[in-house]
Formats: sequence, C-alpha cells, structure tokens
Amino acid sequence: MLLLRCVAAALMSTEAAGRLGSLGLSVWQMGRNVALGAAEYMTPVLTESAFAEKGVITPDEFVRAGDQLVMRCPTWQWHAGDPSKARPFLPPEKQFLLTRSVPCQARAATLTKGCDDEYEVEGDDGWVATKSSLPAARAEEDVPDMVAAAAETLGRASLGESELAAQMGVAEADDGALVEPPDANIIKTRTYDVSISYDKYYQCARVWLYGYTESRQPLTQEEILEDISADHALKTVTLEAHPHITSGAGLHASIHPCKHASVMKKLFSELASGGREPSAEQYLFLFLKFISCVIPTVEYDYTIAVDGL
Amino acid sequence: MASLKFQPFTAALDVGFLTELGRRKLHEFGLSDAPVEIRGSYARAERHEIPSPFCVGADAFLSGEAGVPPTMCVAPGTLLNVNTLEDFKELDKTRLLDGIAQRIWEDMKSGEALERGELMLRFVLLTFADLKSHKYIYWFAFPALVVPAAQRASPPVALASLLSDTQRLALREGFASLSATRGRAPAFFAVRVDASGTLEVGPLSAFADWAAASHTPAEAWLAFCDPCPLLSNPGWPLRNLLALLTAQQLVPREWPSVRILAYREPHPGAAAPALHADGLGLPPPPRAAAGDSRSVVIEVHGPFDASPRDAPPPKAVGWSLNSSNKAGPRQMDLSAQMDPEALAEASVDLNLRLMRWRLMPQLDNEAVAATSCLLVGAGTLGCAVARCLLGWGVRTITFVDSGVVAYSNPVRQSLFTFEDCIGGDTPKAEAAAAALRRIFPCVHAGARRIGIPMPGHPVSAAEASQVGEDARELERMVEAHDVIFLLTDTRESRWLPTLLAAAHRKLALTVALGFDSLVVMRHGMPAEPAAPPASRLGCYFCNDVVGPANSMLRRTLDQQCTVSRPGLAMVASALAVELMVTLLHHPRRGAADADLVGDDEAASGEEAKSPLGGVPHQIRGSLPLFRTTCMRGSAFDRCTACSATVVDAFREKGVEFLRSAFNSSSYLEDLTGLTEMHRETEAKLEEMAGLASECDGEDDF
Repeated sequence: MLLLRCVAAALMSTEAAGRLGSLGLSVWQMGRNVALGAAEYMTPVLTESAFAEKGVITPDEFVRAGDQLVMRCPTWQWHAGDPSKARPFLPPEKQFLLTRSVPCQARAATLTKGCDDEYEVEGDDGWVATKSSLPAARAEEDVPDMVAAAAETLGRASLGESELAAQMGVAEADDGALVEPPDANIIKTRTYDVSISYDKYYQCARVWLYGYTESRQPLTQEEILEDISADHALKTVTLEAHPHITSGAGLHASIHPCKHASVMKKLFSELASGGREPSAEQYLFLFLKFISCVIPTVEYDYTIAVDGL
Repeated sequence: MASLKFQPFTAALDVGFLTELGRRKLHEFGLSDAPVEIRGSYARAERHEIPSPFCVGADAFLSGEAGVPPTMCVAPGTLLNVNTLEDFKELDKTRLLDGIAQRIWEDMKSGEALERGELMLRFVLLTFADLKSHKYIYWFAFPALVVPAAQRASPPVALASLLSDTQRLALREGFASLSATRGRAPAFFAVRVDASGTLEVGPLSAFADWAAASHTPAEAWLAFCDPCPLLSNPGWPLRNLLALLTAQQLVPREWPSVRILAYREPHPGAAAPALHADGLGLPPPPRAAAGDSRSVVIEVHGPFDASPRDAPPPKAVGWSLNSSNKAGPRQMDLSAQMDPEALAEASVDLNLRLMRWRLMPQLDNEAVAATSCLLVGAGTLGCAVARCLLGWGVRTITFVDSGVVAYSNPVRQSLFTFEDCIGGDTPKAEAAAAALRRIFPCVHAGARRIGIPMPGHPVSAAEASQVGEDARELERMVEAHDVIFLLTDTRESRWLPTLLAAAHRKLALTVALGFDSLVVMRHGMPAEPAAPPASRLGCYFCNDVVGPANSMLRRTLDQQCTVSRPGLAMVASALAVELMVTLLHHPRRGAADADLVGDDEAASGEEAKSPLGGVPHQIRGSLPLFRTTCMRGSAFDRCTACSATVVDAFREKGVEFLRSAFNSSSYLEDLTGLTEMHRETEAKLEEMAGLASECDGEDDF
C-alpha cells in the first residue's frame, strides 16, 4: 500500500497536476491541445531504451509490450486506425491497442476512496482475489442514486423509441421464448471501449476511453467522470480527439500522461528491488494495473502469468 | 421437460460504426440502398455476470477477420441502410427476416452450416442515417428458426456436475487448440467423452460420426460458445443449433436425448497461476477465480427426425428489442458527442457531397477542396471571393494585402467588422484570414502583408531591398498556390502577379470593376511553354497597347477610390469562383480554350467539356443592361505581362528586371516592341491624317 500512496501523491502533488486541478472543469471544455500537438511533432522519437531508469519507453518497446498484451490477453487487439493519422514511427497495423465493450458495473465516484483499502488483499497471493470485492465497496446508500441515473439514461434513449416502435409494423416480434428482460430498476452495466496509444511527447502509453450507457447511448462527459476515481477525476482526465480514430467519432476521455513516466519508474524499481529483472515487455501489464487505480470499475483484461514477475 | 427460454443477443453498435456508415453513405453508397455485407462478433460469457455483447464496430465493413480478437466468434451480417425514415418504417420486416432465415435454412440443409457454423449466425442490421442531424436509427435482427425441440428440454445443469476437474481442463485445452487450428473460437463445436472418461473437442462436423459411434448420449455432445451468463438459460445461438437438428439427421434417431453444452469456460490464460506482483500495492485484477465455470449443459429430448429434404424453413423470429424492451429500433444521436469542429467539417462536406447524389454526379469535390487559392487583394473582391471559395469547400486560402482595415470597409468588405477598424492598424490580410477561421475553423487561412511593387511606381534606393523582398515573397506565394486571384483595385498592381502566374504556369483569374460594369477573366495558360501565343488565351494586359503605368497620379478623390455599385463586386466575385470551379472540372483545366463566346457554345473546336458548363475566357457584365457577355481574346505576342519576351527576361534577370520595370514606365514598352509599334502606328496615322485633311479637312478620323 505504501507505494500506491506514492503513486497517488505523485499524481496529485506535482505542478502539472496542480495546474490541471485548478482549471477544474475547464479541462473538459473540448481540449484539443493544439500546442501539445505541435510539441509532440517537434519532439524527436525516443530511440534509447530507458524504461527501468526513467519509466519511459520507445515506440519499439511499446510495440513489443503490445504484442505481449495481445498474446496474453487476446481481448486486446492491435488496430491500424485512420491511415491518415498513422504515426510513422509505429508499424501501420500496430498503431494502437483496443479492447471493446468492457463492462463497468459500478460508479467509481461512489467508492469512498480511490483504490486503497477496498483492494487490500489478505495473504500473499494477492492477485487471485476476485472482482466480487468491487460491488461490496459500493456504499449502500448510493444505490438508489444509481437506479435513478440508470432510469434517466434509459429515458433519454427510449424517448423517441417507443414512438418509433409503434410505427414499425412487425407482426410477431418473438415467440414467447425470450428470457424475461431484466427489470428496469436493476442496474445494468455501462460499457467502455478502452484503447492505448503511444504518446510521443511523454514517451509512454496513454489510455483513451469511450463509454456507452446501459442503453447504448454515448456517455456524456459528466457521466464518464463518474467512472474515474474521485482522486483523479478532475485532475488527470482530459477530453480530446483520439489520435488514431476519425474525428467524426467524437472526443475521447484520456488519462493525462504527464506523470506516467514517474509512476512507471517507481513500479519498475519496485520490481527490481524485489529481485526481479524488469523487462520492457512487462510495461503494459504494469501500466494497466496502475491505470486501474484511476478507473477502478472498468473491468478490462490484464491478468496474465508472467514468469518472474 | 420444459420449454427453453433464450437470452437474446445484446447488440453493441459502436459510434465508430455509425460514423463510418455515414462516411460511406456520403462518399460511396449515395442513393443506393443495396444490401452491404458486414460482420459482427461476440465472445462467450466467461468473465462477467453480464451478457457478452454482440459487437459491430467501425471495422465491421472490412472483409476478413482482421482486428477481431481470436477469442470472439465472427458472424456474417447484412446491412440495409434505407434512404428515408418512411422507407425504414414501411420496409417489410417480416419478409426481410424470412429472407435471411431462408438462407440459414438452406445452409443447414446443404450441410454448409456444419462446416461453417457461423452461417447459422447470419444477422440483419437495418439503418437510417440522418446525416444532417447526426441521428441514426438502427434495428438488429438475429433470425432464429423456431423448432419444437426447444420445448422438450431439461433445465440447464452446471457443467461441473457432469465433468470432473480433469475433464474440464481437457475441455478448455481442447477448445483452445481447436480455436488455434481455425485461428478463431468456433461458434459451434462437438465434444466427445468416451467410456473411459477421456474428453476430446472437435469441429461441429465431427459430431455425427462421434454420435454414431457412441453408446449413449453422454458420450457425444453438441456445444456452442454462449454469450449468455445466466445459469438458468442458454443464449440465442442455441436456437439455430436446435434448428440444425431438424434440418440434418445429426442425432441418431434412437437417442432419447442429446446433450448441448453452453460453453462459457474462461480463457486458459485466466486459469493459469495468477500474476504475482504482491508488494506493488496495486489492486487485484477483476476476474473470476480460476475454478469458476459458468458453463451449463442442456439436455434436449427427442424425437430427432430430420425434416424432408424440400421442407420449407420453419417460422423465424428475431427482431431485437429497444431500450424499453419492446420490439423496435433504437436510435443514437451523435451530435452532442461530436467535437464542434468535426461537426462543422462534416456538415460542410455533407452539403457539397449531396450535390453529387442526383444533381451533379461528376462533381469532383476532392479536386475543389484540394485547390489552394492565393487572393491578391483583401478588399471588397477579396472578401467576396473568399466566402464563395469557402462555400465550395476550398480549404486553403491565402490573402495578400498591404493595407489596414478602414472605417469605410466593413459595410462592403464582408469579412471585416467595426472592431477591426478601431485603432486603424489591423492589417487587412490578417483580419480577413482570422475571419475565415472564425467562420470555419477547418480552413487553412493564411495572410501576407506584402506591398505589391508596380510598374511606373519608381523604387528609391532605400526601398530597393524591401521591394525586392516583397517581390520574392509574392513569387513564393504564387508558387505555393494552385490558383491566383487578382483582386486589387488598380491596373498596374495586377502586372507582377500576372507575370508571376505566367512564369510559374499557374491559373490566374482577374476580376475588375468599373462603376457599373465588370470583367472577369481567366489568363491563358500555354499548353506547353513553346506554344504560339495565338493558340492561347490572353491575359489582362494582352488587349493593351500601352504598358502599365501609375494610374493614381492626378486623380480626384472620386477617381482614386473604387466607386462602384455595391452589388457589382458580389456578382463579379461569384462569377470568378464559379469559372474557376468549372475550369477545375475541365479535362484540360486552365489550358482549356474558351468554349463559350457570346451566346454560342462550342465556338472552339475542342471536344472536351466541363460537366459544369462552359469555360469562357472573359465575362463582361453591365448592370444598367443586367446582362453579361462572354468574349474571347487571344494572347498578344507583345504583351507587357505574359509574352514570352517578358517572361524570359524575368526568368533571366529576376529582381533586376523587375526594378527596371518599376522605375521606368517605358521599359516594358521598349522591351516588348510596343514603343516601336506606337511609332509605326503614329506614322501611319499621320499619313492617314495627311490624306484625310487633303480630302475634307476634318480632324481625327
């Protein structure tokens, strides 16, 4: 737990995080980060491996780490994205990693804390603990709110739909052999498309989120914030155009990578101090674990067996 | 025995799919509503207590299976995108569903579905894309053939109650290796448990042989990847698997029942020893424990008599439910999600693209959008031309102007406002470019504050280097753009841009106004540099027998300003832009000869045409007559701006040549031979005058 507090402190106490924090919601105002785009363009491609010393990775290491992730967790796949947005320093077919329709069954904002106590695991085989610890963390008094929220998003979708349904003229929709649809009061799940791109400026991986409501409507910015842990919601998340997906698809929420390198460096040095030899291939597994502090209820896949890790 | 109830697919349509659909509708499909092949994919419910969604993403249009995780089953689908909401409502959904169900049934009957189980997963996606408002209506149908077998099933039992841990491990490994040989998780497959308890996994096509060789139904099972996590119910894919049992004699007639496995075992990676990263203080991964298994087995009871070969398909169901759990379409409104700039870009693009659907299929929007335009002069004409170019989707516009915005400007010059005038030091070029960006953020609007050096406006020694730099900068600008618009208010300021356009063989268009008359002219471009002048069209200076000189000297106030009827600039600017767009569609583009003279078409011998209409050389208009006339003028071999003599001299001597032209009003006339021509003409005139006075004593002629 000690290290984790370091991580959180690193995220919160830095100048950059402070600056973002003071901007508060304005960070969400359609940030296109034009200046940063130019800065990224000017930054030379990192060629020298320095993941253990600095927590940064080269594009080549990103690709190797991504190959490992795809191999071990096949829900993740490489994608080419919009060819006109392809980065020359990455292979055309391996521009970014994507896992689709990842469920998110609870709101992180309703967890009382980020990811400290809730995740504390007894015994030494910590990682086998099941996700069943998650719903337990949801405070009971929060449930009615979530039902109301779910009903609201449902309402948003069904407003015109029932009207439409009446005009469709399908005689017999089903033969009575359908499972009874779940009660509207039962909270259904949100889903996220989670992607990982390589950030040339910060020389690290970067996570992007695009979410859908229970009734498959795109989540609003405010709704996405509910799935970011309270410690990070307004400090580390920005809304930007995805670097590889056509702009028509709308803006994605992104976990800002300004502190990724220092966090990754700490994780790698922790591994090394435990007597294990860190390798670049492990980067994304460690990275995704760290990201799960920020989006604790988005249940993407990163569990694998890594020898020696 | 009881009736089975099935959990329908939970369709997860990506925003990315809809935007890609919108893009294809606009750029490829046009008015066509022909069916399009797409693909969907789903995983078995292994990790979560919620149904695995049936995913249709932006890559659904791609053929093959690239980008779909190998753990997911791929299903072939048909997209039907209709043109209007009325079409969506009126389309015969029952017929549509029955049509797909018929194909599924035929594939079952032919045995094709045994080899390619995914054919039983065919689906339909009916859509209407309202591209103007970014609203999409969509409705999935997963056709399921209704067979009586579904009413003769025992309630599902947990797999763990039928198989030992060792057998379950063998099942997972067998499934993984079957997936590996096929490169993808099979949607349907077969399982054999022999009398000694050894478990084997094989393709669906292996079932019939395994069953025939078995003694009891416990030895050969059918199986499917199940996206449904419910322990009490199977998912939708089972429905057509049951129908397959009616279509084909897979299960031996004498069997009282058959076991069907709803496969929901975790991926082997998850079952492997967990990642030891203790001490890192990171949360444990959200995953079901290795021992967990959600798989269930359903026992379906006979009789198992395949229907006759020519039996019609059973009744089909499968239109999916909306968010209120009623059969009906869903809708998605993307406008709120979109980046406003992307929204603007898409909407502008849409309006232009729509011209292509019916009115002008040959329209080449890409060519127009890719044309970069240099506007020399950011005044009344510059503003009006720029706005019209924006309307056509031109994305690169650069203004050249040396002036600042004055209080008289905003009312006529449509890109400026009162605020631009305050202080009297806002450069016009920059203000105009900024205004374009405010109007449409996706435009690449540039500005250069350059004074255009002019013949007859002598350059002092102190100014020489600045003027040289201005000329070079203007040349760089001309080189960097495709089309040059000459929109300044004096004759002589058009000279250098005309020369530069000729020297770099760029299309130049001139717009000039009188008080109530206008001329819009495109400068001729030689097809090849050595072409004789007569074979090409003239430039703005070709009709003149005097070189450009300072026209501002000794002018009164009303003569110095452009005093013209306010509507004239708009008319003229619009004509110039339309002429450019028409030319861009002509096979010979700027080198096309004039094919419209007076009211006559095809005055030239050229066969090639622009689909948008005629490409006249000059359009002269008169407001008092409310009339425009097209004219043609050939290039003049002694032209002071575009003749080979001048262009060659410029190429050879560069700035030095320009300086001579600026400093001496007679230099260009001497160079081109105009001076000599004047002398000859005068001599002729004198001769004629002498003759005339001899005749009747009148002056002039």
